[in-house]
Amino acid sequence: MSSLNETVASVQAVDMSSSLVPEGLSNALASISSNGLLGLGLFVLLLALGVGLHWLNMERTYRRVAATTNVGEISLDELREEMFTRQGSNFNAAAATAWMLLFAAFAYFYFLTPEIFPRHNYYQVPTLSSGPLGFATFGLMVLLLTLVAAAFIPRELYGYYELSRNMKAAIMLTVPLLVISIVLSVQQGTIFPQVELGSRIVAFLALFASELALLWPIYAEALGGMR
Amino acid sequence: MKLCIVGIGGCGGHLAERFLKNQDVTLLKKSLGEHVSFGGVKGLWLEADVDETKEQNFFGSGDGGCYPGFFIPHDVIRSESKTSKLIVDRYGYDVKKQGYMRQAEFLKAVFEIFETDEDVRNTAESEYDGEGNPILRKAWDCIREYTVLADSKANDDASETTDGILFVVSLGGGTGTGFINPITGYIRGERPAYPVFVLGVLTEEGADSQQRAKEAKRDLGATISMFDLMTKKIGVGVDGIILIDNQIMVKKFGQGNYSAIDDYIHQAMRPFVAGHHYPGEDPGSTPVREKFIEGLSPSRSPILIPCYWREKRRKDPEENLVKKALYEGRLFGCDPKKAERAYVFTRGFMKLDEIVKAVAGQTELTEDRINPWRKLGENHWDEILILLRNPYGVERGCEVKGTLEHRLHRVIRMALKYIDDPESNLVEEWMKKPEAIEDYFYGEDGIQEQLKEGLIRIEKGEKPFFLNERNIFERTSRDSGVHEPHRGGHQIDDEEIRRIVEAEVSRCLAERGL
Repeated sequence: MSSLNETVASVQAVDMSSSLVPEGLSNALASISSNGLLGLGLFVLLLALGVGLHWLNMERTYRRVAATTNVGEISLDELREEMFTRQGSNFNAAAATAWMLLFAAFAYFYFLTPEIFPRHNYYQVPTLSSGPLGFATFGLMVLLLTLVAAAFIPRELYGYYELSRNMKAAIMLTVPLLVISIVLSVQQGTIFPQVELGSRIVAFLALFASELALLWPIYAEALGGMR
Repeated sequence: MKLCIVGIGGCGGHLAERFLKNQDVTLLKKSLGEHVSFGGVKGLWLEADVDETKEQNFFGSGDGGCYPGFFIPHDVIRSESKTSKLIVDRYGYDVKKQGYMRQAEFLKAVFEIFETDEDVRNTAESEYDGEGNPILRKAWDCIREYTVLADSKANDDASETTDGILFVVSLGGGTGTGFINPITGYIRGERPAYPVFVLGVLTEEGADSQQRAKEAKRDLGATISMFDLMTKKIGVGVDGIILIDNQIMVKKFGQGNYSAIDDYIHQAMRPFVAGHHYPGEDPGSTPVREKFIEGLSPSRSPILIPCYWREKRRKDPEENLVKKALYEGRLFGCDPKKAERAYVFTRGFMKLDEIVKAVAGQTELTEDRINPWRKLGENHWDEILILLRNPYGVERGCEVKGTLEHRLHRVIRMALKYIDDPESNLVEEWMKKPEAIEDYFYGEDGIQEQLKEGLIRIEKGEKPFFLNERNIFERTSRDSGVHEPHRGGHQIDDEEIRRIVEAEVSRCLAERGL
């Protein structure tokens, strides 16, 4: 099965005739999006950077408050309590959904077909991938696995930043963007072993643009704080 | 201090909208979740004109359960009401009139009738479940729901309630100008020590000959309103009148650009209403109120002039922020060196002693008269709002442009001009007791004389420039001057105040685990 997957993964039908982007750029994007280790590394790096910078932002705030206060040690818990901002339940629900979809879109993009990771993909479980629910089972499993993390992340990440309504809207817009990414990845799975390079690049861009947008409040705070 | 923002009248409604805007995202302007306002404020809009409420879509009907909601307090009076008929028959005033077209004295008269005429009160009491002033009762019930005084919510979820009130009005309009004093008086009948502030926007000067007449009328409304606000004793009136000069705003943003002006006023007030105190520095509303009224002599509601500045975060920002706020960021002309006290609200990372030192250096106030409250900032900006208490009082200061004396001297002169103008028709034919209005405006101790005396006091540099209260109607049979507790509340004695304070202190200590 695995050798068959490897064989079919090498078959690529590329139709660039309808592409609106320059050929050089699309080739570069195609090669980046097809590189599993690079994509995985980039995804994890962006996440890790977000977590690290969030810690740094909190630490910087603590230091600044401590430096401007004469009463000795500041309670970190008290500071966190004062810093916490209610962002609203509409936003929180949208952000939690977006984070769940981010993980799902990532899984669909890299681990649905054998094209990128021939040994680690959903096709390795033919009873499920060919079952009555097909690709949906894969998505549901990922959503279940990430449910707790996705519910926790928005509160911890966004609760300590002042988000403008535009920023909130941008974060909310990642939901349809990630849905597009998932739909296009599913399409890839459906037409496999053929590959539609255009939709693959769009799915890739939608995935990473969403990840950046979801982490942007942290990056922006860190960038501003460096000045 | 978490505030309940009460916009009154057209301008008050627009400004309140800025404060109450939902920080959450909405789909097609419909929010499925809770309404989250900046600083956790709550609020509502009180309006007198139904048409005004139809021309906007931010506030829904409060009576219909919408939040944020508008309320029309005089809707509580039924059209076939005996009380309404009695007032029309005896005084000529229609209490259900829609809007007051810049007639501050109209609402003043209506509310005084309820206050002073025992027959009207008795009729109202028999008609409205024992309530002698149903319009104000209705207004207060609407506001009360969002405060810690609310019966149902207060003990359940303190984060959902507010512990102070900020009325937002235009000085010179009709509804806001007319409503502000009666509603404050009514609240004080129940809660003399509850923190109540007013944010009053003084309307701009007229631009041409056609506008000048209108300006004089607006100025009369503004003057009557300020007169009533400033002559109330602490505990009867408000704890501070935050004045903003729309003339300065118009110069900054252009004539008619009210949207930008409202945005800026809201921005300037953000340090005041914001949450996110420095850890351990949230003083609670009662101590803040006490600082505002500390050392007032005579004990009258003080004028507070806001001075605001913000700039990108940098090292040691205190000196520059204070300087810029006091000399480039005044929202009303004033002389910072004449201020009695300074209340400083900052957002960002600043040192307390540096703030106090900087304000003391710029104002000549001693450090014990400067009260800073720090809050955490946002997005790399440092902000400062300095409220200067009564920053005026220079002899012949009214001759110097840019001073508070100069601006208010002009406003009062314009008001007097309007009173003098025979075309003003202040005493109208439909009035059933024209002699009361005549006496109020033109009597020996009438408002005209009081304003003239006020002008002289301004010229001499004396403060406050308004001294004695002046009513339109005298009481028919009830005596007093002392506020009677009204239904729904009760007079608070010293013992109860002590109990409330002790409970609050215990709560604060418990929260801090002490």
